[in-house]
Amino acid sequence: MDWTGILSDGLRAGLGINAAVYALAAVGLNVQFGYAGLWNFGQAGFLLVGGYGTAIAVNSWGLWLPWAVLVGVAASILLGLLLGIPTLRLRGDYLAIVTIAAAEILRIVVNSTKVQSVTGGPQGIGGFANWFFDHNPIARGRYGFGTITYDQRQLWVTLVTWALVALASVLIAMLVHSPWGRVVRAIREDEDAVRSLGKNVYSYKMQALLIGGAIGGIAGIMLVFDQQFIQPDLFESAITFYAFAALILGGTARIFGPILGAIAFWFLVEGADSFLGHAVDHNFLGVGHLIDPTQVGTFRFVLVGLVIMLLVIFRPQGFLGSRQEVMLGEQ
Amino acid sequence: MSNRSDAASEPILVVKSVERRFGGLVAVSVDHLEVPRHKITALIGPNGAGKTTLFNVLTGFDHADAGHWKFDGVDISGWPAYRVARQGMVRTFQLTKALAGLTVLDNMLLGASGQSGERLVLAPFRFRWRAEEREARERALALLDDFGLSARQNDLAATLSGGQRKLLEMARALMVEPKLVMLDEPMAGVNPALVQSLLHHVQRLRDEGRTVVFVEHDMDVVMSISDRVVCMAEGRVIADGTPAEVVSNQAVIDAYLGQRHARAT
Amino acid sequence: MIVVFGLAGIGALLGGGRAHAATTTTTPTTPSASVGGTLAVDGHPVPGVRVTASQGSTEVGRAVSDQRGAWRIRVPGPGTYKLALDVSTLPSGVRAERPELAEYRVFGSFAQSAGFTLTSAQSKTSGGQSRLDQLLNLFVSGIRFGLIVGLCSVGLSLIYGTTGLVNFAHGELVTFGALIAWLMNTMSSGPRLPLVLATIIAMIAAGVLGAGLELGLWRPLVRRRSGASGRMLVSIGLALVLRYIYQVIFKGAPRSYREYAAPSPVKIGPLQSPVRDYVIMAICLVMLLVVGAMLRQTRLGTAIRAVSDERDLSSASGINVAGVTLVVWISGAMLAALGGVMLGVGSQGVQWNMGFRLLLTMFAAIVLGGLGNPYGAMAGGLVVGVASQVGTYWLPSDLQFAIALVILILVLLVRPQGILGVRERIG
Repeated sequence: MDWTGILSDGLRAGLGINAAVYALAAVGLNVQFGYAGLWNFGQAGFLLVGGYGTAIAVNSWGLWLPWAVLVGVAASILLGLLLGIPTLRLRGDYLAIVTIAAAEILRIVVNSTKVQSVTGGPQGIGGFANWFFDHNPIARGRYGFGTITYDQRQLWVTLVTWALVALASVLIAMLVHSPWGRVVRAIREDEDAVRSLGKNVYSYKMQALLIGGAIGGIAGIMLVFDQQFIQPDLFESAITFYAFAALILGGTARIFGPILGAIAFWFLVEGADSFLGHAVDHNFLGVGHLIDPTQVGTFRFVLVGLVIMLLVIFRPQGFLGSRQEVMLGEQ
Repeated sequence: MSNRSDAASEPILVVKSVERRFGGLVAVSVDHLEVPRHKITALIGPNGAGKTTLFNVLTGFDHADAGHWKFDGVDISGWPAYRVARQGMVRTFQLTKALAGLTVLDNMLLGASGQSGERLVLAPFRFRWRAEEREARERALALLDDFGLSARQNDLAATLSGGQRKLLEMARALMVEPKLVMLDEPMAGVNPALVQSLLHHVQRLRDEGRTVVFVEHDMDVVMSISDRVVCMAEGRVIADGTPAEVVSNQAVIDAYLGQRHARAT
Repeated sequence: MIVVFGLAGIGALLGGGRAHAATTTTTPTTPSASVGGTLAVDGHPVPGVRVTASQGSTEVGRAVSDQRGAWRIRVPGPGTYKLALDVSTLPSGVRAERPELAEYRVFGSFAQSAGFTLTSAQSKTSGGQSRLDQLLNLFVSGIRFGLIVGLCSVGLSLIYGTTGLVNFAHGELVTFGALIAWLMNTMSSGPRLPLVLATIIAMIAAGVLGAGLELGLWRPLVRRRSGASGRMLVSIGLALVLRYIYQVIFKGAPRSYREYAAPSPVKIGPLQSPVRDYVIMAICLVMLLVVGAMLRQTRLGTAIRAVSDERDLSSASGINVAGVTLVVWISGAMLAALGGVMLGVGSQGVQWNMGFRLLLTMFAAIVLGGLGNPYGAMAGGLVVGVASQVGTYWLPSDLQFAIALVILILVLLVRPQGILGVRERIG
């Protein structure tokens, strides 16, 4: 068994673009779910409108990419408004169901042949992020340490995404440590108490939803930048669940929770993938008899599911959270 | 200034023909109710009389099917709860809503109104709200001191006892600087040693120039501190007067004692 | 007309994930770009169809769809290709809507998907029916779909009502029933029972699974004071585990039962459906009526409704809440399993993710009907089913599912408590 190979496969993914995109998506969820207690199960939808907004603005309207990015972010804010207005006055379950429904609707609609001329249908749109890669300041070559290396293109998009994660986290840290953050955390505990003190709860919930959604939109934009390509399959509702898993893994309502969680999540997913692949090849512990090589990719989702279950059951506070606070939040 | 002295004699809250139905059941049907300024008014009545529902309707936590009400000269019927509170009418809850995951001090600071740091655009800029925050903190610490909670300021509210949570909730409501405080069963579930302290605080609210309305079951408590008593039964106001008048009212005795007898058997 | 789009690899996400892993790996042999998809009509795979990719007049690759309908062509790299489906290799009665994708762009070095839309000639649109007849037929198939959704969702709604759990793994119970019945019915090493018997066994197995989940997972979690949100996340994890175990065991392609797979339609007036579909409707309707009557007439039913309305109060008034919850899990899982078989008998076939695909429709149904209200689940299921089928008369059928969800959002705007729900009392 090539243990260093497995480890470096895991690390490469944990530091790579996927982890950065999920960290960004999870930072957004952390504002909504971690701090404000809002059940956004449609984060995939926010990523989708961010990504498609940008891609369509470049592809169909011929906008300059930086403006197109703003269009993408604005689109995800608009989505937040559309979902928030009817549901934020209702019980939390409704927001959960409506957001996941909306994310699926969006995925089906952009996939539809009716709008193929705009969204490219199932074939998607590509080549819209040239501006971004034309401005790559990193010289050609491979960068990294040991067996973990990235080429200049991967490094550029990965670094920018991690920088955005840092930026978003700093902003969120400033917000949650302000009186604004105090109101939002209080809403998570008991809306009525906050209302009775003269705070417009609905407006704060909307603000949290929009901030988290906008960050999700940026995550979607970076996801499709990396691919230089956008298609509906990239925005399965599973993205939302994995971002939740990453958030809970790291610890909700903690600034570093989503970041640490996303790194750990992708380390686990790709490490498990690599481990299973190697184990099947070398028939390690008889694994080769159980799984055939084509099923390795499927099997890792079983592992992800198990990790989510075990975590929530045995360590609901994640790596960084305080158990006391989590138990109280559940009361 | 003459306006003000006029206002002082006027009732702070006037309720007209307020009705709230749940399906076919009429939970509240109040033709007329006035709450006098700078006084302690007790709202009594048997279980299911509609006291909490009336509280909910008046404070914007529930909607009325009919009627309107004026607070301090302003028609606030149908206003959302947060606007009612900002107007100066702040309530507490029967089941205490201490924000368990926040510290005692954060609970208090939440009550301060008009904080610019609570606005999203200003929140990231600490220098814009640092002074206000310091001021609010001083006020909060003084109140905590009054209520005997200053030693617990950095503990999570979850760690407080039931009675301490009631105290915290009352102190927190005062941070809003209300003109009218509506206390829904402030003594319920409080250990007897703390009841005296709570009563003392309620009286002090009045002495500081605020108006208090409170829901209470214990007649001894009602008799000892209220200036005025309103009795409800089956959604209606059946008596309204001084404590002595109300306890001797036959309708009150029928409604109240009737239930007490029913419960005893 | 059922349209199925091609998906890259086995599962879309799976394909994406694996392919993406390839782009970030440092191994010097960069994997070449590929394009592929799955050909299916009415949920059944279409094998043996040739697809070619060419640039200009040069053919750069070709593939033939396998037993699962899957095809994949490796192409030299990013660029524009012409993808063509050889219509002469299509089975008789199957047409391709656009056999040629003239300018298909390959963007990077990873697996991409391309969709060819296949329709079967006996689909309703080619039958020369009048508009009214088409609408009527859609309405009837909507009722059938709605009854199945209702059957599957009753358990979801009751579980929510009695335990407060929004169970994201409920779809996997639906799949479980369909798959167990398929094993009993068709697997060569299995007992090869008739479908009716296989269904009964599947329902019993699902009941056991439901009881096992309640006793082994949910009850201990409640005892650990795990809140509703925590349990919802556990159910998401459980759904992933079950769903991908199904995929490992049963692979990706849709399967059919031995019986009733390809019945010929019978004409009754303007209606044109196989007898099978009427039987499905009758079974679902009878089951729903039985459940409804039991909830209303029996002591157990009264207890379930009481717990559903006021959990704490019922516990205080001496109802055995734990027992009621167990019964709800068992019966909910059994109904879901039956619904799964009914769904699998129809044109969709039996597939590892069939329940997951139905999950959001079930959510739509129970929210529409009023959360926690079992009659609401039935009513909501019918509304969602009929609307999503009839809606395909005007909109492309790939939007069918979106229609159900849009209706859900619209209803919530007007009536947040659902069709049959009662407005909550505040304070």
